[in-house]
Amino acid sequence: MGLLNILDISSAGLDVQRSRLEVATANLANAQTTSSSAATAYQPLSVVVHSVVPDPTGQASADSLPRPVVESVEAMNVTPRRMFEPGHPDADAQGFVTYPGVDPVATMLDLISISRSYEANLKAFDITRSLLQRTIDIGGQR
Amino acid sequence: MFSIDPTLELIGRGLDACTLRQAVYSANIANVDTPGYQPLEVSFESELQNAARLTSGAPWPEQTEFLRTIEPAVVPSSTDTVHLDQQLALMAKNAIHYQQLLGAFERSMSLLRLAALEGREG
Repeated sequence: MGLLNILDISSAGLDVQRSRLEVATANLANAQTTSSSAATAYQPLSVVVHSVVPDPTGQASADSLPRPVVESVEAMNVTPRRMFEPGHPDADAQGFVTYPGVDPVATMLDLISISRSYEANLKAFDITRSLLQRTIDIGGQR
Repeated sequence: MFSIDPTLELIGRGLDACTLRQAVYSANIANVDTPGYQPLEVSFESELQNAARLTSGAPWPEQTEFLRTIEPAVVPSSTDTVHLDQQLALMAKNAIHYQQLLGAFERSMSLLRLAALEGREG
């Protein structure tokens, strides 16, 4: 049982939040991409996160606790938006342009929650690191 | 862990429990966005107190022998959702506890050192 392995848990948490951030920003960045049909439109993505226990048989320690991992990044099944813009180069025969079904408000809320979770993991990392430092200082000059 | 002094051994076990607790809070925070995650916590001090109550009349060596059998355990938390603020507050409290134990460890060691040096400074 060591403090060092606890840092791995917080790193796993930071990793997951970074992936969520990447996906959320990609969705926002691609929100205004145009296409002529639903089949070719940008599909908003979402991250599938699962918990994995590195060492399920061992005694209670940092390695017997669940860590989050990104299982996959998958396309969300949302219907694209169709806007009537007949002059647009990407307009179809009826004059409609297809935009991806990104929900900007939901994505912004996601970004806020990602930011909070990232901060919390960072704080946890920091606390563990300072405990580690104090432990290393045992027997040093006071 | 330590056989010189039961106090040092108890401090060591307290530090082990704090380390495990730090790991559990870290895991709770890391898994905050995992669907279906059951928050965890550590049970140790309450069991230690129970054990101490059970053996309160017994002589000290027997008591420490019994206390040695108490292991910190990871148990599911009573709540179903992780609250980041709550977990961070618990973690800060645990960190203070850990540092208190480290302080106690250092003071116990300096007592041993004083005894080893026969009371002379050096």
